[in-house]
Amino acid sequence: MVPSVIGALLITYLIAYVIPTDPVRAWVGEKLLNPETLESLRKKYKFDAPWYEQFTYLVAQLMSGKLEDPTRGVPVVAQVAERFPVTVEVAIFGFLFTVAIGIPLGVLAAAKRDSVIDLAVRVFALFGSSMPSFVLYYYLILLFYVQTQATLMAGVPTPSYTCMLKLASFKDQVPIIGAIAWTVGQVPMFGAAMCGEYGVVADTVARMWLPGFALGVLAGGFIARVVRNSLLDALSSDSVLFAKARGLSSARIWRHALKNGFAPIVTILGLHFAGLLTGAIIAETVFNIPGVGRYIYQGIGRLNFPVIIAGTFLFSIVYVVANFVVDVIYALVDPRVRY
Amino acid sequence: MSLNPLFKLSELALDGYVKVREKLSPGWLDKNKSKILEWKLTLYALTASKTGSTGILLVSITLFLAAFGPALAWEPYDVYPVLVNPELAGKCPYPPCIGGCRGMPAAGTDVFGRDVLSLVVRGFRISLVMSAVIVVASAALGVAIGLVSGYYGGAIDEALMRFTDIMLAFPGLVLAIAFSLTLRFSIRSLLLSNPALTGFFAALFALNPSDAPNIANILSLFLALILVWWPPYARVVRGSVLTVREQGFVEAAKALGLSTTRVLLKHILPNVMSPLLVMVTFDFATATLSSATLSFLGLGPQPPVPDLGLIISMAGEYFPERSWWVVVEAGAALLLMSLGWNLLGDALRDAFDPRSRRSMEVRAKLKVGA
Repeated sequence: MVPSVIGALLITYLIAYVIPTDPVRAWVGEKLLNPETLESLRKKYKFDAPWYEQFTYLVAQLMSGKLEDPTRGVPVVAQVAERFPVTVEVAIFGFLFTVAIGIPLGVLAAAKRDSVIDLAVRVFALFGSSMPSFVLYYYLILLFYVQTQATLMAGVPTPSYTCMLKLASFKDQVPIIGAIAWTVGQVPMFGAAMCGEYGVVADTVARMWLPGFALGVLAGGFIARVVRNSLLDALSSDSVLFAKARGLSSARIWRHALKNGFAPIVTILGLHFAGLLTGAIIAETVFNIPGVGRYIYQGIGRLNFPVIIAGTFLFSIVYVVANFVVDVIYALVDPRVRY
Repeated sequence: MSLNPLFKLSELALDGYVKVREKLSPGWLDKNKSKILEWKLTLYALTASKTGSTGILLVSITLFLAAFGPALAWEPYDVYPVLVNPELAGKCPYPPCIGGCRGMPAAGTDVFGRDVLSLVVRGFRISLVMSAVIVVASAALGVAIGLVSGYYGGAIDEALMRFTDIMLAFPGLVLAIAFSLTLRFSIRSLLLSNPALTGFFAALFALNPSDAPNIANILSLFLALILVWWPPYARVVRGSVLTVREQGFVEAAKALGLSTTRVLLKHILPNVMSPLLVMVTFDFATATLSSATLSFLGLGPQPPVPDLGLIISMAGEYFPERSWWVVVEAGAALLLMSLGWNLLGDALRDAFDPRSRRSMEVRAKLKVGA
């Protein structure tokens, strides 16, 4: 795990480093400040030192949490910690909609192979892969916000300050469970739910269901196709043939097929969730959500090395953890897999 | 039973091509009889399916608008009516109107007062050229690397494939953003110092040569995309080469003393062509969407260039009350393009897949009269 995180950091850093422009200039803008400020910034981020010193400086500062976002003058870790929970909220809604749309459609398409439903799922998947994501987002806003007012579009609902204090004191009182509760509570929706502020939860649902639905529409068709194909493979396997030969009821046969057919889907869904946690830049832009994707995208635009490194660190952790979780679930789903 | 008109049309084109080849080198027709029949069967399989014919139709519309759109467009893209005509001040973006438009375009205008439909018709050119260049260039690069890597094996293979893996593992969007931001400065100075080159690209994108900085942005965008686009091609081609190179005819070609280049290009490449062609077609759709997405994020050209992603991103600032029609029209154009390529790719995959092909062939053979 550690080598892949370090590798990702190093490659990102080197790519950013070979870019032949002056990052400090990009931070302060074209209308220059006085030369001393530039010089001190250069010194501070070690742009006068060789690349490996710069790199180790950035990583060491990042690990100690002291690394500053030079365009804002606040620690990068705090900026990311403030935005990541919002991205998690979007990703959860997106994932729920993807699963809710993709899996039932896929199972239906496999059960009624070559029927109208199968064709409809195929068309839906085709539509999902042909639609420019931002265009779909705008269309959905037009439909559900402008026409029907079925969603909120501004801000991100957060639990009250007293609620956050409560969670923090709970973390101090109860050792492990408190820490877990506090961490989960950083996601505004969960924090509010734990304090019993259900109005905030309802507002979050009203705010986030549309981005989630949009992400689900885009990916749902693809997931449905994967589910369909993997189920059809399972249905035509020898074990199912044997089950049929033994005269098992079709419900029992389906249970076997579903169990076998879902193993590959776990991998795809896990990586899809990781992708949602890292890649919803466009959705965050169009739906005006202050998430981590937009922050890092802006960082790339301004060659903001600290933000780029922090973002890569976060993303590679997300992928490493997602891969690990997928492996664990895989072992649970498929008893033949042993580690 | 009558054959479908699309097939007749494509058959005519193929017959024309065959006649030209026969004129150029007599005896060609006789030698390639079975190949031509194979092509005809593929064409039939393509045009017989609903997916294939719809795809061909949409792709033809795309190609037609990309070729003639800039000439058909009834308004220049770089003259802002709001600046020319003081009466329009404060009226734009003007919503679409059917009847009673009082001199305004029926499809609505953007914030500068330009007719949106005219802009969209122009937009096809940039979109298609971008996706074509991205896909063809990265396919060529990937094929070259894949052929060499798969054919030679050993240390060369190891080095090339590890490099490919690194590029594959990296998030494409992030890499493309970084590349496009940095490349544009060097390309801009190159274009400014070289008017002939600028003129060529301006003609290619149907833009005004004075838009050189924007042309530089477009070029940097697709160079960036090419740099992140080729690795899957290298992987796929290498995989196919590994199986093809072990076959008898390759050994025979080598035994006849053909040069390596000839063996690679004439004997191995044609045999890895069909998976490649399917991949290229699907990638036209993905490349259209990716380049539009990057220019939507502001990494591509800037106004007044009629780029569909840019048009939508500009409309986003006034969305929805004063710009929904811009998003709907430009978005429909993007959807049409990528849908066409995706449908065609689907049909091509079926036509090349021996399993689905067999049943089509039996029917086709009866009709083509083989």
